[in-house]
Amino acid sequence: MSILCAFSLDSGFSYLPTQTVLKIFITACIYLSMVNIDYAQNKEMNMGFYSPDFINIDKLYFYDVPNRQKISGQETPIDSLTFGKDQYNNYALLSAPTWFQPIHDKLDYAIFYLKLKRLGRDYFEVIVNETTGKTAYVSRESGQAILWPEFLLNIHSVEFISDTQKVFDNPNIKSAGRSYDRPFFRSRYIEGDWMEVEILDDDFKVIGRGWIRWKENGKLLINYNLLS
Amino acid sequence: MKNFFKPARIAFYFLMLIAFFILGLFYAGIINAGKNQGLAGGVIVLGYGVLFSGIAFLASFFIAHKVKHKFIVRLNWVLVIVVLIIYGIIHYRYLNREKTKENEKTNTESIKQPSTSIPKLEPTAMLTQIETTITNEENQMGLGFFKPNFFNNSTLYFYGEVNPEKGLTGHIPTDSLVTARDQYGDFTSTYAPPWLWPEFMKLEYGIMYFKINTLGREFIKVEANSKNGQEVYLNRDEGEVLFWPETILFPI
Repeated sequence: MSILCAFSLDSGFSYLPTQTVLKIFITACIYLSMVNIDYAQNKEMNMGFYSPDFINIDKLYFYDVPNRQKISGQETPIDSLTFGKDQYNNYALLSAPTWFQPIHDKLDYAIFYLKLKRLGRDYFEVIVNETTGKTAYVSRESGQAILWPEFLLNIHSVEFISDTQKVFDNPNIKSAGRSYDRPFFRSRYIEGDWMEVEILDDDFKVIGRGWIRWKENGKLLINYNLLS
Repeated sequence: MKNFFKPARIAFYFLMLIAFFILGLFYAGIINAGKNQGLAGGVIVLGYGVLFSGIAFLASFFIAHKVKHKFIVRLNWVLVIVVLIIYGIIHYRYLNREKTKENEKTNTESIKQPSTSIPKLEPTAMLTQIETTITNEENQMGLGFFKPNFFNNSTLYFYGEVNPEKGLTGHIPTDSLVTARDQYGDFTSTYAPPWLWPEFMKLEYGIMYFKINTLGREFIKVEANSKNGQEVYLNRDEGEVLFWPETILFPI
């Protein structure tokens, strides 16, 4: 973007005063950067999350693409995670592959999520490295798939990704929209792309109720907070 | 005691009863007491009528005892006028409704039929899917299905509107489905509401699927009648939530 801006400064607007050109340039750069931020947050959704049953299993095995010729359970794992407890008796990850980078690792709060890419009868395909997008398969019996509606009902709160988003009286954008200053929302019900919420203030006290749109055309319209 | 059973007083007791019964029904209508209550809606509205008339009937004895005979006669006339006005309103609304129905019928009948014969159409594929316009945005397919667990809970409770201030225990069910086992060990229903029409049912195996429209922590809103779209709330602990991907992977 800086190259683009430099080019526009050198080549055009020679008939305008330098200060005006600079104002236009700075405004354009700010506007473009805001669009970029929105685009980055407004990313494609996965199916939900996978949470291994680390309370009952010590090892979580990762598999390569499952061989459909083999009977389920006879696959050879490519790597594994080892769960245990630390000196404070909290759950902890004792060993993991070097490439392992989950989306949420808060085992001391009993929270451990991997992004769920695909749901199968015997295996789930999960994202094991958030930076590279590397995926691996895990056995269905090793944990639980938590799809978005279920996930949103069980987290602490959600927030809007943009200041232009509004709270509605009904799950319908035709109803009157209300604006709040940086609100938090606690989900009560999920209905399609809509979520009935309690509107929370900075101290997480309920100040109202309404409906917000949490996704649209497969894109997430909210940021979520697992903990307060 | 003699005064107690004078014709004007007896008429007063009954007029109070009738007038306040109708007023109770009207009041229930104004506050939407029967709305979204399923079958219980009618009973709730009737309850208001009975409550109002009962109180008025009892009060009429005290009023009759305290006031003069002349005043009771005047009150009777007032009550008669009130009852007649209410009857007039109800009758007028009934006539209007009938007129609208007749107009609709006439409009339907007056649509001209095509003069040329309709060509006979042959299907070109074994299975065709007709695309319909989604009116209620993207919520036509719901989130998935709710499968009640009749093995653990023989009764499935239906709830009307949910009060967000109260938890599950603060709500009283409006209706229920009661199941039992027959001599072969198969499930059978001993009581079911007449409007119950789930998306899929094989009750003898204890299988019943309701389309989930809204998912909550304690309650879920399901389509209790897949023909007319009637919705009820269910306790989500009384069964299993199956999202669409799960339902497709593990069909019934």
